[in-house]
Amino acid sequence: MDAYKRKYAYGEDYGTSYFKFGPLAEKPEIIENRGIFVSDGESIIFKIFGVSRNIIVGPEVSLYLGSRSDIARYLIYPMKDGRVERNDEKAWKVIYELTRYGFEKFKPDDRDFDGFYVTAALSAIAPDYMYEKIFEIHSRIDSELNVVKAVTIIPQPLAVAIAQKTVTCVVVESGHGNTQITPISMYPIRNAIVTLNRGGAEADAVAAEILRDLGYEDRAREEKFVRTFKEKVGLIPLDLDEAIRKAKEEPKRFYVKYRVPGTRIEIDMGDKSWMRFLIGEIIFNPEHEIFESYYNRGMSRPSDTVVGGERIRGTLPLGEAIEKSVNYTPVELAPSLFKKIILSGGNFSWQVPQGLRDVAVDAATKVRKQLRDMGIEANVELAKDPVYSVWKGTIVYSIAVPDDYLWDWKKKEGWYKRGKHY
Amino acid sequence: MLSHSEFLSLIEKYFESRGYVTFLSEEYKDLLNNFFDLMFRGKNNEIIAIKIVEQKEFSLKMKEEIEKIIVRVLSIVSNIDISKVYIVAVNPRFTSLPNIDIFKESGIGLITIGPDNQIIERIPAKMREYRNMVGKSIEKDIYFLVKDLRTKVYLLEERMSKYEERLNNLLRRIEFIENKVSYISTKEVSAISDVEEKKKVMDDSFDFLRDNPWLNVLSKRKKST
Ligand SMILES: Nc1ncnc2c1ncn2[C@@H]1O[C@H](COP(=O)(O)OP(=O)(O)OP(=O)(O)O)[C@@H](O)[C@H]1O
Ligand SMILES: [Mg+2]
Repeated sequence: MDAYKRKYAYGEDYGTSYFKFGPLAEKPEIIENRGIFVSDGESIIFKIFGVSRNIIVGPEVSLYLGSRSDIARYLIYPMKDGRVERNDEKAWKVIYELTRYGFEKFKPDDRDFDGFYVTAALSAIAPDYMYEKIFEIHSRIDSELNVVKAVTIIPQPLAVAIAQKTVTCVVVESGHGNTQITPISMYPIRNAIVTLNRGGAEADAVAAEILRDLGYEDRAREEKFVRTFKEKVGLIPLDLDEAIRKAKEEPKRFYVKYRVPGTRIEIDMGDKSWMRFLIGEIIFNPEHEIFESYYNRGMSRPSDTVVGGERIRGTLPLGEAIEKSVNYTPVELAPSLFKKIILSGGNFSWQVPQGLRDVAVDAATKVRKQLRDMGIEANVELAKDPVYSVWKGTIVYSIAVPDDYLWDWKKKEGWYKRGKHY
Repeated sequence: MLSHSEFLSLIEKYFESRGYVTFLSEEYKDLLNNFFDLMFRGKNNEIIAIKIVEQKEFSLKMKEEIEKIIVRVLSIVSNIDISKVYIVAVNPRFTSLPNIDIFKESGIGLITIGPDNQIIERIPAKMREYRNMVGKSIEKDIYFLVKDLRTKVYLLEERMSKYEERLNNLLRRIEFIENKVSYISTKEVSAISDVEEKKKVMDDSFDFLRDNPWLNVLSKRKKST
């Protein structure tokens, strides 16, 4: 049994912007979390070859993009901030297709294969109906392809802790849509989870404003463009005021010109190069006064969330949010939690250019600094592989959890199984 | 059984009786020589192209041929101004025609000629609207993509069968070695069970599994009573 489960362990990370999936391997497969609805006329050729689908997911989506001006009506991003709306049928169809795409890709031919042990990771704040839907989707796909022997769902931060091999820690998972702070000690401490409604998207928003200021209004509206610009140009300042001061003093050293890949367009930031630091800062402290003018111009402020009856500002500095989360855990746990704070998710994998190390830092250094300024000495580290760590944790989970442990709604643990549940 | 040219004149008569005239022009000459069998022009100058398919020994073959023709037609008409396309199936059996939906979806019409030389228009062709260039080029892209994929699958299959062969060789060699080992000594071989040995190898192969304390923590999970 164990050998089988190990051989056919399968993991899925449903991120807001990317779906990462696959069986035991070095790395998962990764595709964008989106699908495109095509009209029957368009999918004719697929019909001839026996593939009749109205929704296309995976790399093929790009074949359909750019060819029509009214994409927005057809292209669907099913998740927002890690959530899929309960009654958004189109969105759930896309999730179904993405999930199925994975199994079609990885279904083995081996004679002993009788379905995977699938661990799916969802946002720590995913509501129960999402669990139900994900189970339903898997059981349906099993009835179609015979690929899911059992499925379970875990919160993304738990998966990160597992991938990092740490049993007691605080995981801060920040993707495109949101940031979840989850203390963990053998189990995720659910009532201490603090979520912030912000993530890489906020940095995109600042990057877009900067592009506008530079006179690239059109480009500022292209999501993909803005995102790459952000990733190539944005920097995290150790201290924003200090960084801006230095950048204005030595403009040459901070000067950046961004060449748009595959084109001859160059975006020259010129004497505005100091603004690179704003892109990184917003992730950690959207309350810095410098952002006021952006909010006044119409850039949206991250909305508030509620934890245990307490309102948490969407703009709360990350260090303070971590402290808040730890404060919800039993007191005796706090010291060991601060001993290990793990940052994961694409939104923490910022570059730090060689020549700028005196002012630009990685995300871990930034958070350590924020906590130190509050009088807390903490160990903060970046997950080894920020983009894949959730997926890695799901694989370990599939391998380790005993086959006879059945799903328990109260604990949200165990296997949801063929023959028992569907 | 009529000859090919007798079929042609039969179809010509059929269309002429409906007000169409046989059509030949420099522009379409290549297409007529290489692909279509006949072309007609209607009152509003619309152009109709005909492709004849005759029954071979196997009904499956005809079906496949028709499907291929539809793909070809779609890629051809996306570049050229042809208003309607008919496929004429000669003596088809019921099983030798593709799913009717394919005709309906693609707008290609179907005419059959029975054993008694009776012509029946089974599915009328739809007038093709002028599609925009981008739509056309996507169709073409997909057509080539599919072709490309088929080639790749073919190559992969070939490689797979080579791997299979090598794997079989390896298995034979392993079996040989295993026999040898057990012959040399049954005592000296340590007590590590096969399963554990395998487990170790796998743990070692992925960094995130190696010495992961969670493997132990999670393996103790069970329903609390
Ligand atoms: N090198 C980089 N520098 C800055 N940001 C990056 C970098 N690489 C990825 N990102 C950002 O990380 C975000 C995507 O991260 P991730 O893949 O963890 O998100 P997700 O799992 O799809 O979404 P979520 O976890 O919010 O549901 C995007 O905003 C992306 O721009
Ligand atoms: Mg994520």
